[in-house]
Amino acid sequence: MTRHQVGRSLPRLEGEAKVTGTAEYIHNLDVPGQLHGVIVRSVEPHARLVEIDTTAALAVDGVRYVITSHEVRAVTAVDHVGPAFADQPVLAFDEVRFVGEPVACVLADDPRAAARGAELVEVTTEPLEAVYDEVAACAEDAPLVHEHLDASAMFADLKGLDDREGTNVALDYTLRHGDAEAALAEADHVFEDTFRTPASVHAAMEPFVAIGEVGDRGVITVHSATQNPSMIQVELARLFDVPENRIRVRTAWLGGGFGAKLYPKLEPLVAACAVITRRPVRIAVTMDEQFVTLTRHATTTTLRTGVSADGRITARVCDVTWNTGAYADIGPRVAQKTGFTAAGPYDIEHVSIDSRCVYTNTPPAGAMRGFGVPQVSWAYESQTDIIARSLGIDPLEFRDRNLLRNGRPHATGTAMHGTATAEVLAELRRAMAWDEPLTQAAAPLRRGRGVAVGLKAVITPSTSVALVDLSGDGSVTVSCSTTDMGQASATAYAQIVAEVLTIEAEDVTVLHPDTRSTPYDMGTLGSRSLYHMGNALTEAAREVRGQLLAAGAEALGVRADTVTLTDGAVSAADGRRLPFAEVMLARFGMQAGNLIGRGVFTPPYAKPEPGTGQSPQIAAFWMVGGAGAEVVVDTDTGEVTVERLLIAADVGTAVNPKVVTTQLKGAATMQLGMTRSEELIFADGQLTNMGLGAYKIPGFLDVPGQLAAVFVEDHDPERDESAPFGAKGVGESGTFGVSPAVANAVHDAVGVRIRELPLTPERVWRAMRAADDGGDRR
Amino acid sequence: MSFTITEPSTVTDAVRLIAADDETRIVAGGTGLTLLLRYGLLAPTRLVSLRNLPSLAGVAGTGDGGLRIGAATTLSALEHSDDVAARAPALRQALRRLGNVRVRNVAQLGGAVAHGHPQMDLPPVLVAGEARIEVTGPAGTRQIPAGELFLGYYDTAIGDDELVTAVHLPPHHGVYRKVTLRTAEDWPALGVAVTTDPGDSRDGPPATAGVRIAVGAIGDRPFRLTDLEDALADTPPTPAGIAEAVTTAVADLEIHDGVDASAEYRRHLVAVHVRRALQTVLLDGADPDHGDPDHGEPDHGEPDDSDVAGPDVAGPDGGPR
Repeated sequence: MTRHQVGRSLPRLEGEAKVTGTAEYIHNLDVPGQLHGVIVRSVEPHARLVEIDTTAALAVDGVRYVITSHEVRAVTAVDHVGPAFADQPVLAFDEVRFVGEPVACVLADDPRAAARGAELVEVTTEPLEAVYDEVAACAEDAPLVHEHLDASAMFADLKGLDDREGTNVALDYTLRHGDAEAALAEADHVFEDTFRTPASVHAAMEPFVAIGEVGDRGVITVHSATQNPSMIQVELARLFDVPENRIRVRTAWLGGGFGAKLYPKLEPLVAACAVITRRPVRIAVTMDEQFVTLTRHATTTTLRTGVSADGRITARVCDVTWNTGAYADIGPRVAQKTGFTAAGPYDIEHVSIDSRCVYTNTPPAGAMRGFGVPQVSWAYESQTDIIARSLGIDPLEFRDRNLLRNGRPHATGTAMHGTATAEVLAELRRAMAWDEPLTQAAAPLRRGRGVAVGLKAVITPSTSVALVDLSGDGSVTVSCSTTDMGQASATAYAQIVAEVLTIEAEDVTVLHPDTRSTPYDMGTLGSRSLYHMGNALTEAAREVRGQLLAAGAEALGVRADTVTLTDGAVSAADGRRLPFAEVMLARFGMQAGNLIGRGVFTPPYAKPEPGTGQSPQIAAFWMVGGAGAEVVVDTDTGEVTVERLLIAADVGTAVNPKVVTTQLKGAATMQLGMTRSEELIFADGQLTNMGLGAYKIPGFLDVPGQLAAVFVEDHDPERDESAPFGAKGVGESGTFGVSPAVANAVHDAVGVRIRELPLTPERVWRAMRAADDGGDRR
Repeated sequence: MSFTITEPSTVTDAVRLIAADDETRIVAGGTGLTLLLRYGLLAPTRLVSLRNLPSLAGVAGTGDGGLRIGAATTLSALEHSDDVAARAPALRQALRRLGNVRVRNVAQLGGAVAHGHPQMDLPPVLVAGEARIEVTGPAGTRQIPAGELFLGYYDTAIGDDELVTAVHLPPHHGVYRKVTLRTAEDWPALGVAVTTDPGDSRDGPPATAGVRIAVGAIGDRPFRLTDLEDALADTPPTPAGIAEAVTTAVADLEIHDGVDASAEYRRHLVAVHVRRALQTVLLDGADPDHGDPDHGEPDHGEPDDSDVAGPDVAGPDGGPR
């Protein structure tokens, strides 16, 4: 009996290489003859560029070139890159729009010379009016970040947007389901609350790094720590107006990505520098520079919610404003694809959502673990508790009463299926021992607990292509363009392919993405890889299985429908077995050849109606992530200790339970940092807490004493049919509920409501003091 | 940045090297200096490393029951010293939450004294403990009282041509309370050290007279709350008496907004934590290593006495961050 590979808690296959320091990272790559680039950055939040004087920089010993937009535009076909809107120049020209924007790049024989040169580039500017706050940027008379907005180059569903002028609003997403305003007017209770989240940063251990070089026939190769090599290839082909087969993008293991390393970052610049200089060019930015490369959106969300006397949510009007910074990056997609989930995991008859993506003069904001769900869940799950407590209903009971269950329509009009909202809530109730009273702490401490549940739709549509290749000796290699940035996709893929081919996952090799040889994948993002690439791999592996069965049957002299695959061999009904190597020997006459299987997966999708956002099929699958928190609040100081954090998530099938658990805990810990301490602080557009000295991410001592993840393996026949062994992505689900669960627990402990992250001791203390002065302890 | 590194093998040579010019800096553990170098705040032409001066390391008991600690003693060695635990409990308490274990394994006491950054844990302990800092320069060796050593931001009374060679710390009973507002391993947003002479508590709680209180990380240098010390001398050792004296004393402090807290909140934190520290020392009996009776401090996952980190973390292959 073949051992099952799907469901094994297999240690990740690259673990030993990582622990022993032998794993391949682009950060460790040097190319012979390379120049080192250091970026000269804007110190103005918004200004007209007047002059860039490179004389002093060029005089530095070892400095070879100072590249400005002048040189870049001479070798590129278009002036801007960007996945949603082509709005970002490779190097600034005409204007700079945020502090930290690349203005020039000094290339030198060694990084120190480049850094010295970069200090000596003199940039003359004329200041322009700037705007930083997402709400202020929406005002009629707000300074304009861009004079003119161009529509999308890369995404079909964003192409339809009209070119715009005279606004900072990059994208206005609207959803209308029923008549929310009318229902609000008739509701027994109406709640209105505004919630805010600050900008924050991914802080991956490996900052951005890329090397560009020009090879035979002008092929541009970029080695980059990127999460989506295929889309970088597409974008570079557009930038240089060359066919995609003249662009090669490759990557290796990533030292974390979390969404930051998606879409063009350093790649256009290193490629342009390589084309200009005809030498390999390497740029490795510092941790500090990571802070001005890509951030998580700051948001302001107002929810107006109507509730009936018996505690049913009847209507919800959501207004979400996303601060996307000076360049849109993938912000419009965040506003759109997460915007439509802003009413939460509830069954609400009347929903209205306005979700707008707004330019400001701050560093660009884009994808980050959760893709906006942690921001909207902060609002809706905080308000859910506000409502429940105001009506005197247990918060978990109130959620249960209003939960969106399978078979019921989501606000987008898509009927839910295969989505374990009820099971996740039930798991929280059980694992938190919610029905048992909480043991109270001794003064001056107060203990409290809270829960929260978030819902995310996987980004749809998108495509994954995979190849599975069986060699002459029977060994198996997987070719695909998923980047393993620490989520253990390579291990999971080996398990899936091994399951189909009845071999051991340890015996499968999964290649790093290299667009010269690995086929297209949209990217490693939004918890899509396991599902999408998993489906493509399953198909590809099944194709190889079919070829093995045919070749094996022929070698055994029996009919193909009488043989089976077991334990890495083709077996005949009479008990004769041919291991794969012998099948290949029979098929090719020697140890030679390949059996190649191909898989292509694009899930079904129905484009939503413009204006109302209604669609019968808005997402390939939904993720459900719940969190339960127990906290102790020091009532003298507002200091909060998270004693316990529990994550419950719908994972479909846990392909690797060990990895699923660590993914959920890791995501929860990351979001706990966003909850408690992480906030990019700007003063007049200048980031004042750049770098890990001033911006604090959690360490091991910040991990709650009790951190646990439980998962729901809910099996729905319809979904299992469409998913690889019924699996869902799990990289983000651990983030959804953390922030509101902690805030709800703080409220349970001391009766104050925090509406703005991070939930700092001073904010809690101020809220307690205001409450003592007769303020709101709702 | 370009500099030479010299590793003298005698204190005399070291002093001669640092006295030679203004562009020379001393590097001990390097945990503070490397940050300054990285951000271009210092551009020395020569670093004098103390790594070949093992004679500068070590903890020794002194006749008065106190300690003489060599400047090159690592913070980790101090943290695990039985002598420190027995004779200077507030110091040990501060060490256990200072920076993180990687920092403590290389950072040295002399550097921690001479660095002069206001947001450090040891300065208030040394001030409250009435430590004397032994420095050696071309003119010989002198001792600077800790209370006179810290002058301001990166500014100390140590001469440019002087090297910290030892710290003399009288024995004390007492506590150190560290407050961080962002993460457990953050720099202190507030450090409170309260000490008394061991003799004062031989037969029960110490007298309120003789208690020494220093706060750090709240201004540009650590300082004694002398008004409060004086007031306590005439205050009955009761919770209410202590609280009232603290409230009065803290109201007069000059406190400014900080990066992680407003002036108003910082003042409040000083009041709460000074009161709690005093209650621990004066009412509960200070013995921090055997169950801190003060339940007020949130547990930031601080290791227990077994020195084994407690949290059930993500697991051996938890995702990198």
